[in-house]
Amino acid sequence: MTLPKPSRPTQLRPLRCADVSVGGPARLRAPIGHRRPLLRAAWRAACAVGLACALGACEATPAPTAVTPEELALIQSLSPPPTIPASPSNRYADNDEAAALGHALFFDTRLSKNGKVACSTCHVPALYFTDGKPLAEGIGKVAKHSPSLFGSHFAPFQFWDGRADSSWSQALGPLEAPTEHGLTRLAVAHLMARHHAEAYTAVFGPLPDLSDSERFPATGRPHSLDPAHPEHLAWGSMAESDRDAVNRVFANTGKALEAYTRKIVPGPAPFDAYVAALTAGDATGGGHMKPGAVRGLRAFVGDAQCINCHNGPLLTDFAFHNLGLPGDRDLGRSKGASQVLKSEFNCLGPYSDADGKCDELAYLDPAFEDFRGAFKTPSLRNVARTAPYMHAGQFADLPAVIDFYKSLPGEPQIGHRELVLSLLSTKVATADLVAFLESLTGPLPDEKWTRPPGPRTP
Amino acid sequence: MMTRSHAPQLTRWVATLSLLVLCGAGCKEAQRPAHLPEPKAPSSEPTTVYATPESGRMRVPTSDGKACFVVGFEPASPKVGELFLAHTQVLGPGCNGPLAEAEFSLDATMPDHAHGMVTRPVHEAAPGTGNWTTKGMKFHMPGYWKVDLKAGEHAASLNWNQSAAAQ
Repeated sequence: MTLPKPSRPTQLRPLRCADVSVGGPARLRAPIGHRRPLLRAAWRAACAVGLACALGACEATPAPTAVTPEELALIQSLSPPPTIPASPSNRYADNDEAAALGHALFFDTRLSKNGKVACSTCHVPALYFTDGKPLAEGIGKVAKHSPSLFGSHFAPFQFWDGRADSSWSQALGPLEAPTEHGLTRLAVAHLMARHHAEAYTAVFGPLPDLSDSERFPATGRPHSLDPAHPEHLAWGSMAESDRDAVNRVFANTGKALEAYTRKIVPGPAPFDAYVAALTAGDATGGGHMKPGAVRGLRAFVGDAQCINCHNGPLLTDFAFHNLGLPGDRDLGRSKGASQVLKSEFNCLGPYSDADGKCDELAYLDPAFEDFRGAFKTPSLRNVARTAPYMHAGQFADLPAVIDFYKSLPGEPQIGHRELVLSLLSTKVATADLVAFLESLTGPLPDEKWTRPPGPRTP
Repeated sequence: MMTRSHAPQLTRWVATLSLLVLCGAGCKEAQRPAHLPEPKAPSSEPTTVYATPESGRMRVPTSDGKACFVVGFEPASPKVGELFLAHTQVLGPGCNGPLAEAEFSLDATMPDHAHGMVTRPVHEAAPGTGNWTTKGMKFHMPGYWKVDLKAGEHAASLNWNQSAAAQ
C-alpha cells in the first residue's frame, strides 16, 4: 500500500533575478538618441543590475514565507536546538571538575602511543570538532570520517555504526583503536596515574595503586578475536579484581571526557531566528534567511523529502540507513548493534550508573533486516562547516552530496539501499538546498572550551 | 533482561475501570483520512482501522466481530525515533467485556519500506483483564506504519501515519 504524497503547498513565486531582464522594461526601450542624460544613467544602472542578476550576484526581494500550516508544523519541528539530555549512565556527566579533567584530557597528546595524538587531533574545535579530512588520521589512517561532536550527546547510539550507547563509552573506543590513539586500557590507567592523578582523585576518588608491574603490566587489553596477542595475554594474566580496577579507571576517563564534550552543544543558527520570527507571526521570518535558503527549506520539508531522515531539532533521526554509497562494503549497523550489546561498557554493564534503566539497549533488535550496510544519519546543524561528508568522507562538499541524491549511482555492495530513497528531483535547486544548510550554522562554544586548558600537569 | 511485572490488584481494577470510562466517553473508531485507500476487510483478513494522533484511543474490531482491540499510545503522538508504550485492551464481541487471551502480540511494519521496527517490543499483561502494555515501541521513520494486533485467534490491524512534525 502506498501513501499518496501530501498535497503540495501553494508555491508563491518569488521575484527572481530573471524577472529583471537585461534589456530592461520595454517602456525604457526608447530610441537612444531621445534619452536624456539622467535617463541614460538610469538605463545603464538598470542594465548593470540586470547583468549582475543574470550572473547570480544579486538577491531578489524576500521569498514568500506564507507557508501552509502543514509546512509550518514541519519547519517548527526542526527548531530550536534542544537542551542537552541527561546522561543516566554517567553520574559525573554534569560535574564541573569532571569537565575540567575531560577538557585537559581532550587536548592531551600524551594519551596516545606516539605522544602526538589527542582527541582534538580529529575533533578540531575551529572546524566544529571535525578534522576536514575524508578519513580520520591518528596513529594511522582510520577507516571512518571524523564526525562532529556537536549534537552527539542526543544520540542513543554513538559512532557511525552505533557500537556504543553513551558518549563516555564512545570515548573509550578511539583510545584503544590501533590507528587512533593506539593505547590499551592498562596504558591509559598508568597515564592517568602519572599525569592526572590529582584531578582524577578529586572527582572519582583514589586511583588504584598501579606500581606493582607484575599485577599491572604497562600495557594490556582484551583482544577477543586474537587470543594470542601479547596485550591479550598480559590482560589475561591479571587478577579479575585488578582488571576490574583498571576497567573502572578507563571508564572514568571516558566519563570525564563526556563531561567536557557536553559543553559542545549546538547553538542557535540564523534558521532558528527565522523560525522564531515565523512562529511569532512575522511572515518574512524576520529576514533571517535569504530567499534561496527559504526555497531550500521548503524543498527540504517538501518535495526533496530530506525531512524523512533529517528530522527533529537536530535534523537527524539518529537512525541508521543504507544509502548505497559507492564502493562501501562495511557491515555498518548490523555489526555495531551486536557490538554494543556485548560491550562491557554499555548502559547495562558494571561501569554504568544507569541502574539498569537502559531502554534503548534493552529493546534494540540487532537482527533488524535493514541494518546491513546502514550508517547513522548525521545532524545537519553546522553541516556547512564540517566537510567532507558521509561516514567515509565520500563527498568533498555539499553540492556533491546533493548530486549523489539526484543520481543515486550504482548499487550497494552490501545490503540494499533504503527502499523509499527516491531520486531527488533535478528541479530542486542545489544552490537553494546548500543555502538552507548554510543557515544552520551556529556559533562555536565559549572559547573557554575550544582552546586547550592552561599549562598541563607534568 | 526484561521481566514481566504484574500490577497489584487495585491498580488493575482502576486501570480497567478507567479504560472503560474512557471508551464510553471518548473512545471512537478513527475516521479514514481522505488520502488513505479504502481498507480491504474480507472475512479471512484482519480489520484495518486508520488512526491519527487525534484519534486518542483507537477501537479496532476484528472482521468477524468476535473481538476488538482498544489501543492507545503513550505519549499519544509518539515522536519519530523515540521509544513509546502501547496500551491495548482486548475486548469481546461488540467491544464489550474484557477478553483475557493468553497470547498477545503487537507489531508494526512500514509496508512501503519493507521493514519493521528497529526494536523488539515486550508485552506485559495484567492477568485476567485483557489489558496489555507493550514496551519498546519505536517508529524510527515518519510515514505509514501498519500495526498488527493479535490475541489468541483474533487479529486486526490499524494504520498509523507518523508525522515528522511530531517532535
